Amino acid sequence: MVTKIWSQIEKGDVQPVYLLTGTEQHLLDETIKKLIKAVPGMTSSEVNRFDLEEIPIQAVLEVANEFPFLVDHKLIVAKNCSFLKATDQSKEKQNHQLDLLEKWLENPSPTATVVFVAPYEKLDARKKITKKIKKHAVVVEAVALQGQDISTWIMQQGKDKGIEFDKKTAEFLMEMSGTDLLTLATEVDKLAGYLAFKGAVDIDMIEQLVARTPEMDVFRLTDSFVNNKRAESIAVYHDLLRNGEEPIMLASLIASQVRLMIHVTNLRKKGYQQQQIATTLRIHPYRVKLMMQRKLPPLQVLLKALDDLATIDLQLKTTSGNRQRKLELFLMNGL
Amino acid sequence: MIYQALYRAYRPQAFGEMSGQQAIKQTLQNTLLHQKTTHAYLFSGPRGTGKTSAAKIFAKALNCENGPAAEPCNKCETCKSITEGSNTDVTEFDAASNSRVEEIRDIIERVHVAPSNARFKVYIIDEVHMLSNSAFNALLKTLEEPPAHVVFILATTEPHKLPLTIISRCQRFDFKPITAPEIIERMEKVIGDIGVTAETGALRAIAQAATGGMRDALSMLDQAVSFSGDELTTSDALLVTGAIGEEIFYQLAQSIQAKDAGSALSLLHELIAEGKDVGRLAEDMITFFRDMLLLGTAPELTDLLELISDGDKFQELAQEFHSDELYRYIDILSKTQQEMRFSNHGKVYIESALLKMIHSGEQRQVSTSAVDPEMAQKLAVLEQTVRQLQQQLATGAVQQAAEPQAPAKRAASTASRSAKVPTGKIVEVLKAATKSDIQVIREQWAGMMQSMQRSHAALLEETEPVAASEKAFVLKFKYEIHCLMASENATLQAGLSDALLRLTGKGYEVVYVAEESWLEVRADFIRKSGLASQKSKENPQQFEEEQPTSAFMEEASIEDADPLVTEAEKMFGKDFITIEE
Repeated sequence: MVTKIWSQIEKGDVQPVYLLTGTEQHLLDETIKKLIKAVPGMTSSEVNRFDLEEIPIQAVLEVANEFPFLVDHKLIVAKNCSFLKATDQSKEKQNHQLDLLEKWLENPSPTATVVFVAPYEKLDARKKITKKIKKHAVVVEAVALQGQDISTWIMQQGKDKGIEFDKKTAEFLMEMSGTDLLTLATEVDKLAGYLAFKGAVDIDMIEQLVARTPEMDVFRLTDSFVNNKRAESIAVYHDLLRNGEEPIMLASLIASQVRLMIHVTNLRKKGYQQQQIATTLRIHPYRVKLMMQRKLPPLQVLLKALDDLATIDLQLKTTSGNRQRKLELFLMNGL
Repeated sequence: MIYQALYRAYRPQAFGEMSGQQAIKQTLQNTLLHQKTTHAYLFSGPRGTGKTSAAKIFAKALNCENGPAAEPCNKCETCKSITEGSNTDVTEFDAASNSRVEEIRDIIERVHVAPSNARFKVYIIDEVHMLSNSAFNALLKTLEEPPAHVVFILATTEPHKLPLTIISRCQRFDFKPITAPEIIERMEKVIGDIGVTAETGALRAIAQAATGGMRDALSMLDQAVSFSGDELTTSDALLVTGAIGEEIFYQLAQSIQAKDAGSALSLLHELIAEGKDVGRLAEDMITFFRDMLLLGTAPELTDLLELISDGDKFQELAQEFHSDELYRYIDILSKTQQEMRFSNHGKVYIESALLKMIHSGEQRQVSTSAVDPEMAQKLAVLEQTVRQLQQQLATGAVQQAAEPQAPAKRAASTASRSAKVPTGKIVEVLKAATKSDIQVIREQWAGMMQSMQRSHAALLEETEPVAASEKAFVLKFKYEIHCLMASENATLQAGLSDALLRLTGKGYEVVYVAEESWLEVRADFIRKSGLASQKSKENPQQFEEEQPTSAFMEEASIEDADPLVTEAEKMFGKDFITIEE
């Protein structure tokens, strides 16, 4: 897959046409970087870059067919190949002459390497042009990694930068900044900088340095609240406020979590299993699983919390005074 | 020389001078030393935490002629020109006032030109969240494919307003609020330099009011110093920050705790006499009690305290208050705040709030001593009754499990009345039955059911009053077992007649009968009274009885008629219904 093609590129085996698809931006970037390295005499400033949402494909082909001027071999990156998608949603439609591209693909320029970038989840495989380009180009699929693969990837990325992650720290980093490889790569770089490019990462460092995504923080807020960790929930709440989150939004998020807990408690009493609960409530089974794993507070407590949250919501929307305080007081009270 | 504000004069010029942000400083310095800086940085954090300062120091360190080093030398021409803002390779761009796409394009156009006299072209874009959407897109294009000699440093207080595509292209550093001790340390250095002495309380008050922003702290210090002269006292500092000293709140809380309305009110008057705004006062009091709550629930989060700075003393005070009490105080105060908005007499409101707070505790004490035992007693009595009832129900049910089937079967098979069926009474009622009586009872039936105890009402669920005279009525049970349970349950009977008395104003005797027996008795009666009415033609003495009897018989005949009509009649009474076929 990706690594196989990479190692070919690293060996200097550069094909005339590449097609990069998939949503994992970091893998796309890396592939292009490796290609730049592999083409002799190429630097990033000499790459011809085109945005196919701004210029038509025939212009790119023209450049590709021209004889290279200062370098031996041209590298052309044409991004946003939206004509490969099922529905083209680009704002300004370009008049791509796709038949020219088809002809060109059969006989690409020997003095240029053209990289078509289609950063979309899925291409329309029924289209004639898609079939053709897949046949003639080396296809690199940058598929988003999942769970285990990501922590392995983090460890590998760390090793490249001279620092060490273990399973726990890698997972913690993932928890803090999500699963986007591009974000993770910059976070690993940052941690490497902190450690002066040698040594092991620990949890404390990650907490200090890694920028939290608001989604993760919101999750931590509801989590610490339902686990009755008051101090933590207040601290996270203030972090979120500092990042400009709205108390109304936070209140409703906590409420939705509490509501879900009420649902789960009730359905569980009726003898529903995890999977059944997930389908009944139309939520992701993992959320149910997390909830079933721990002891839920009694129903009365949950109902009261929900009621309180409704009151807070009303207060936030009707009364003046310090808005942040109202939810804060609720969090201090705990479940 | 023109006077330069403290926060400008003391803007840090090297990483070593910066307060706080230890992790960020270390990371940046390491990457500088190893020459592994990246192309884009995003510095985010609240105001006055060092974002722009860090950006400028970083730009200097990158380009310093004596570099690459962890700190800029601040002596070479490049460092000096960057400090002055005259270096052509370091562009400071204020996105707040240049938010349009043309303006950002202007600077991005020159990105590809190599730096003229430094190693890197550095673009510091302040308040980057103010850029327009198209400006962001223009910037993104450059961030995606940056030339090797360019470093972008974006600074913003509101990172959530940036597009994710921008954020993910940058190495992001979150600047944390500077802690009070760090602010105090810096301020001590500053006043040492300018030759002013200050009480520690004064510095603490300023640090508290600055809430983590060094620039706020220094400009307040500036104000306070110019106000006080060479010696800065705590009260001077409090005047400048506009805050009320925590000491006064301490006393106020103590007098509330001691229920000393006099001293609490006089403290309040003192504050008002000093010219404090009552609205602000209410807000501050809420903040104070919230801090006390915080001390109670999460004492380790001292950073989040807003009014209280001296932890230990208030920790003790917080112990003396129950959290419920504090919540109640906050509640009272926030209601007062609401009321004050619509009034010119804020002072009256806040006074009454203070008194309410003092008295709310008293009421609680009263309630624990006087009302509670009474309630407890009532509860005990109720509990006992319930237990008795349950016992009765249980034993009744057991008895019936054996008994009722026998008479029921007998009644069904032999068609003779069991001893339990009060035939005589039923006949009595039937004889005196009138339509109006049964209507009165049926009208009140639903209301009565609601006013009955749950368990009783449940027992009477499947019943129906079928005939009534002025003194008594017949209650038909669908199942014999219920009939038995009801007729043996004294409290139910008492409750039923009570309820009826209340609703109709008449005391009825209730005759309980099961459906089966009732049908028999009724059929029997109709037969007999039919005879009787025939007889009555011969005997004028009995003539008067015909009216009620026939009324009853009319009903009996309708039983077999359209159930819809019967139901409607039950609801509205027969007099109000005309049936149209």
